[in-house]
Amino acid sequence: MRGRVATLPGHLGVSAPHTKRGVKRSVTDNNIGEKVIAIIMREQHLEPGVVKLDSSFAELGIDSLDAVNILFAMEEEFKIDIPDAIAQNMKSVSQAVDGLTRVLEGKDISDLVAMAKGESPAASSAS
Amino acid sequence: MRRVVITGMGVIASTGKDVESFFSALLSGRSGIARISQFDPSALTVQIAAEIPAYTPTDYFPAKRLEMLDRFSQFALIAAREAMQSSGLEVREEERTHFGVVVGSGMGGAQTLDQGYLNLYAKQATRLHPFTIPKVMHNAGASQICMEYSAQGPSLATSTACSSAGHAIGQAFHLIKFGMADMMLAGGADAPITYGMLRSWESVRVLATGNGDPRRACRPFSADREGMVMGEGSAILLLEELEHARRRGATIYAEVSGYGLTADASHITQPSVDGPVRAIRMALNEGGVNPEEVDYINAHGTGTKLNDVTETQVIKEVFHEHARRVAISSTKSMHGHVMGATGAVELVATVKALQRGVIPPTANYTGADPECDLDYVPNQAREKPLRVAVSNSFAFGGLNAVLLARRFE
Repeated sequence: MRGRVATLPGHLGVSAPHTKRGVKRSVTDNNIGEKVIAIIMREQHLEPGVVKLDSSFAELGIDSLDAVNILFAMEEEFKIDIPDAIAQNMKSVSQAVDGLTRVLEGKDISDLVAMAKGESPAASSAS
Repeated sequence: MRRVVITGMGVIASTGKDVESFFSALLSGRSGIARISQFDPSALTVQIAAEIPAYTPTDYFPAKRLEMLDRFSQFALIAAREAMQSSGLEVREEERTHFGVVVGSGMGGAQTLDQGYLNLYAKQATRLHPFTIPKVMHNAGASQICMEYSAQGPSLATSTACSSAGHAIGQAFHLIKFGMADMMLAGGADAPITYGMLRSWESVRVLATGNGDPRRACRPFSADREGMVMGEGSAILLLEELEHARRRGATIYAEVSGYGLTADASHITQPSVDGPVRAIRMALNEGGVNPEEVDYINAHGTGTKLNDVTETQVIKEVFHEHARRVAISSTKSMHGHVMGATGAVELVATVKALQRGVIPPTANYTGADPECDLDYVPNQAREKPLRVAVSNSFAFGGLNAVLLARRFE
C-alpha cells in the first residue's frame, strides 16, 4: 500500500483549504479533491472539516458498504465507471482521489489490477 | 411443556400508528382506506389503498439510517420499537443468544426495487444504487430489528404471501415452545403501494375499485363485496416464554397456544377448503381446544368473492353447529389487506379483543350473501367476554397459517 501512496500526485498530501486557492496547483486536480471530499461528506452525513485529504476511510467510520456507496456517488457525479481494481484499493480519501483522477485522465491502472488480483501484499481484503 | 405468552405489541397501519389508536379505530368501524397519495394513481383502475396517513420517515429515523431502510423495514422497526417499549423488556447481555426475530414480508423492498427499475429501464440509468440489495431483500426488516436490539438468537424472514406474518409468529412460537429461544419479536411488514405492484394486482382482478368512496370499498362477507384493498404497515409482537415473563413481572396480554400450517397443493391462487380446515384443526389440536370453545375468529376475510365463500365453508366444516354461534369478523374491512404483515396486524386486533372483551366489527357490511351466512359481527363492535380466538391467514400459493390465542388466566 505504501508504494501506491507514493505514486499519488504530489498535491494530495496537503490539506484541503489551501488547495482551494489553487496556489501552484492545477485547478482540475484541486477540484477533484474538493469534489471527493464533498461527496464523502454528503454520503456519510459528516460535518464540514471532518473529511480531509489525508483521512483514512477507517477513521471516518466508512465501512465496506459505505465505500461502495461513495464509489457509486463518484460514478454518478462524474458520469464514469470506476473499475473494480480501483474500487478494491480505495481505503482512504487520497486513494479515492487518486483512483478517480486516473480514471478521468485515462491513466494506466495495471499496478492496481495486479494488487486487486492478489499479486501484492496490499491486496484488498474487502468482502 | 413450555408455554408462550405475548408481552409486547406494536403496530403501524392505516388505521393507527400505535396499538391504542389502531384498536380504537377498529372498534369505531373507521376505515383507513383512501385515495393513494404516494404517487399519482390517476392512470390506474384502482386508485385506493390503505396507506399510513401523514407518514414522515424522518420523525422516526435519522437521515443516514433512512438511506439503508426501504419503507417496509421502516415500518418493521417502528412496530418493533412499540412492542419493546410496551413490554418493558430489557435483554441482558447473556440472554441475547436466546432472543430472536422473525418478520414476514410478501413483497420485501418493493419501493426500492420499483424506483431502481424505473431508473434502469425508463430513465436509461446504467447502474443501480449499491444499497438496493440490502434494502430490497425480504430479511432486511428482520435483520434491522436484530441489529437495533442486539437479538442474536434464532432469526429469519418468512415469505408466504398473505400468510407471511402468520407463519412468522407461528415459527417464533415454536422456537420458544421447543426451547430454542426465550424471547422472540415476531410479525410482518410490507409496503407494496407502488405503481408496479398496483398494476400487477390490478391485473389479477381481485382488487375493489371503489374509487368514489374509498372508506367503504372493502366489504368482506357482504353481498355487494367487490374485492380486497391493498394496504401497508407492520405489526410486531413480543413472544416470551411464560416463566421468563413471570420472573421479570411482565404484563401478559395473551397466550399463544396453537399454530397450524398446511398447503392446499391444488391451485396457485384459488383457495381450497381442505387446506385451511386442516390448518385450523392443527392449531386447535396443539392448543388442546375443542372447536366449541372458540369464541372469536379473526377471519382472513379479504373481501373477494372467492375467499369469503370458501372461508365460510371452512368454518362450517371445522365448527359444525358452533359455526353459527362463533363470532367472526374481518378487520381488513378497515386496515386493508396488509399483505405479508396482515396476520400480525390481525393478531394484534385479536389479542386486544381477548383482553378487552370486545370484538371489532366487519365494517361496511350492507347485506347477507346466501353463501356467507354466519355471524360476521357487522358494522358494530360487540362486547363479549372472550377466552379463545383463532386468527386465519390463507395465502396465494395455498400456504395457510392459523394462530390460536387465548386470554391469559
